Amino acid sequence: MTNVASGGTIRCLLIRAGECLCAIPLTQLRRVVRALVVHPLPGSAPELLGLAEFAGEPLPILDLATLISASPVATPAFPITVIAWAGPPDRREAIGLAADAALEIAELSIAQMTLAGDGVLQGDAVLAGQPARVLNLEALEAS
Amino acid sequence: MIADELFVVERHGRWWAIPAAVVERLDDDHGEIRIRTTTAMLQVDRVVTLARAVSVTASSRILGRFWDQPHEGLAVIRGRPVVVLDPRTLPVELICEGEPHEPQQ
Amino acid sequence: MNRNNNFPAILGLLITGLLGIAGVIALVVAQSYGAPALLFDLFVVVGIGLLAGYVVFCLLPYLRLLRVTSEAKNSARHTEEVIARSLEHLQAGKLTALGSEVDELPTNLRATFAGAVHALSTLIQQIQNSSIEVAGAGNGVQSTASELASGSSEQAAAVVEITATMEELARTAAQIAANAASQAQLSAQAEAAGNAGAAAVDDAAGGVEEVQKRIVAIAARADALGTRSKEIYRVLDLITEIAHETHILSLNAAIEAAAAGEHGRRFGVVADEVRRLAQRSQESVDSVRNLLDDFSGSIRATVVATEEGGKDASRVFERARAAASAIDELRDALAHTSSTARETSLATEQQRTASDQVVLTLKEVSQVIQRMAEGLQHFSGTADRLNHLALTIQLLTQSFHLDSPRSLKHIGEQWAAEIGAQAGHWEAIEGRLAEVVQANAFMEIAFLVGNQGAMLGFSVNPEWAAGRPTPSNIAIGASFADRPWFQAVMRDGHTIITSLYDSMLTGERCFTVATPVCDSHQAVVGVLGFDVNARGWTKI
Repeated sequence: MTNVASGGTIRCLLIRAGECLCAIPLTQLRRVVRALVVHPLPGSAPELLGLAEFAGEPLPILDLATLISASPVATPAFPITVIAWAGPPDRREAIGLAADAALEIAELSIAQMTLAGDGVLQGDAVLAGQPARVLNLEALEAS
Repeated sequence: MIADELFVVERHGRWWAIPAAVVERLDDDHGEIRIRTTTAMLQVDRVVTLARAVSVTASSRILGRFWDQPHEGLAVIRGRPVVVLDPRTLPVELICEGEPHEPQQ
Repeated sequence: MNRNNNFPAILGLLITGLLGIAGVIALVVAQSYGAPALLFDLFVVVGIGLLAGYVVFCLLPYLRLLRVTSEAKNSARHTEEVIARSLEHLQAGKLTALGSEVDELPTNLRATFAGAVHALSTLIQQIQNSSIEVAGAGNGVQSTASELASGSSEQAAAVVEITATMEELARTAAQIAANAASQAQLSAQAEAAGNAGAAAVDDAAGGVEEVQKRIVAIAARADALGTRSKEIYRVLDLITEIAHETHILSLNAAIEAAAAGEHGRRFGVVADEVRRLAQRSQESVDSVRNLLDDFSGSIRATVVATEEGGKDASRVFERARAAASAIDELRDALAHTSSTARETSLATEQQRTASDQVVLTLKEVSQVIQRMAEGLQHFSGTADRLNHLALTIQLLTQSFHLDSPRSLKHIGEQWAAEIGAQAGHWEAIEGRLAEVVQANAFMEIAFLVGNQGAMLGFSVNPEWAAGRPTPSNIAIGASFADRPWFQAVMRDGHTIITSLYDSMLTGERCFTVATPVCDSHQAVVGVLGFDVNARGWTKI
């Protein structure tokens, strides 16, 4: 990951998606908004909820819980859509990630992160006293 | 990319955009709207609008990973995201019943 | 008659006297005038003429009259004798013998006497028939009176039972009347209680209605509180939304700060502060929400309780109304029951009075029946006496010997003549006795007694015997010489009829007809007798 903060920590946004707590580096995020209206596409994968409009642009919206294979929980009170940058930095695309809630900003210590692989799920860490799954959206296109 | 004219049609609640250049004829047969294109006969629920000078965004790669329907791009028309279709590879749900359809590469 | 008989004598004396006087006068005149011879001749002629006239016109008729008178006396004497004999026959009741005597009466008396005899005979026969009818009627009346008396006794017994039953009914009616009066009183009390209950229920319903109104008011206030709570919730939701938006805004600020790199650090700090502020706001909202939840819960509980209370009050109100309605029905029923009880009490009182009156009436009826029974007894006795009188009259008429099949003397003497002609032929005599008994249903026994009083033969009518044994004194050879009827027949030589007595065979009233049996020399060889059942005789 790029943009590693000083001291080996990364400022991440903690997001609740289903039963999981996800951490996405702030550098990969563009905006957090209320859940957007999604228009489904026929024949799409389960991860793809459909298309939404954000700032006049069409945006594919993915279900974060399905993306990370997290079990859904009860209907969230304030569902959100995280506008994020996905893909390699040179050809990143804006996508939307549908989640249950955006919690807080946390400092992620790289040293304390347990790496999981090269895919979107980069690893696991304890953030804000809770176990969280660290995502790397730069690897979304390839995986 | 700016599309000159796009026919925005609705089918099963979904909006689709078709380049007006490939549309040959529109028929309204007792409420069933049929669109004759250069490549196929389409059946739609209604024609939403004929949009002009629409900004079409290139197709998203990440979108392509999760949706294999070929298309020319994406646009926002009347505040709603719309897929701009490739006339050569139209979605099955738009093809008129009984009409043969083979994607043309 | 004496004057008529003396008339010729007197006329003769008168003529004689006149002649004498005329002669004297003639002599005097003659002497006076000197023509005595002429006058004397005249006197003599006149005198002879007068004497001749006297003889022709007085003496001869007088002598004829004397002769006629004598003949009349003789005829009258004969007639008297005939009439005396007829009267004797009549006294003896031998009206048949009167026929021969009538022929010896003078012509002028014959028809009249014959007519009188016929009329008397007819009268006696009518009296006989009437007496028989009266006796028969008397029997019927006596029988009817006996039946009526028996029926009256039964009625009296029935009336006694009915009276006892009615007295019991009257006592029962009195008890019922008392019970009905008690019931009426209880019904009145129940009616009053029902009225009081209805009033109480109305009060309760009114109170419930008031409670219901207050509950409704409380519910309305609770609703108002709930509405305020909803408004507060909306405000909290708005604040929550604002906090959430603020939170998102802070996040976006942090994102922008991160994108700005070093230049965005201070902005990031501000974003953190904003985020914390949003968090505190959210926490405060949550706290307020919790309090409001508790308050809302209490309100809801109050509302629910109030609604439940209202429902309960409604149910109570409905039940009160239902109770009021039931009480109204009960009151109506009680009023009806009370009215009915009063009517019943009145009716039973009337019934008791009527029962008492019926008992009195039944007692009067019993007395009437008793008097009627006594009357019927008397009537029965009267009928019995009437029957006895009729039979007595019948027997009196039987004392006359009539040429009639109803005249027992007549038919008895005929049978006696027949038996007398068969004197000595005992089988024939017994056979004749049996025939006579068989042919005459009124006859109980026919018997023949010798001139010494010994029973020679008898025949008993089986209809009257009806299986009874023949009285022991009726047997061949038994002596009846001491019987009054035997002695009367032997003494007087004509048929007699006894008075009524009780038959030894049947025990019923009967009489005996006894007639002398004579042989060819008109000597009495026995007495034929037959006992006539009075009831059987009246049926003919």
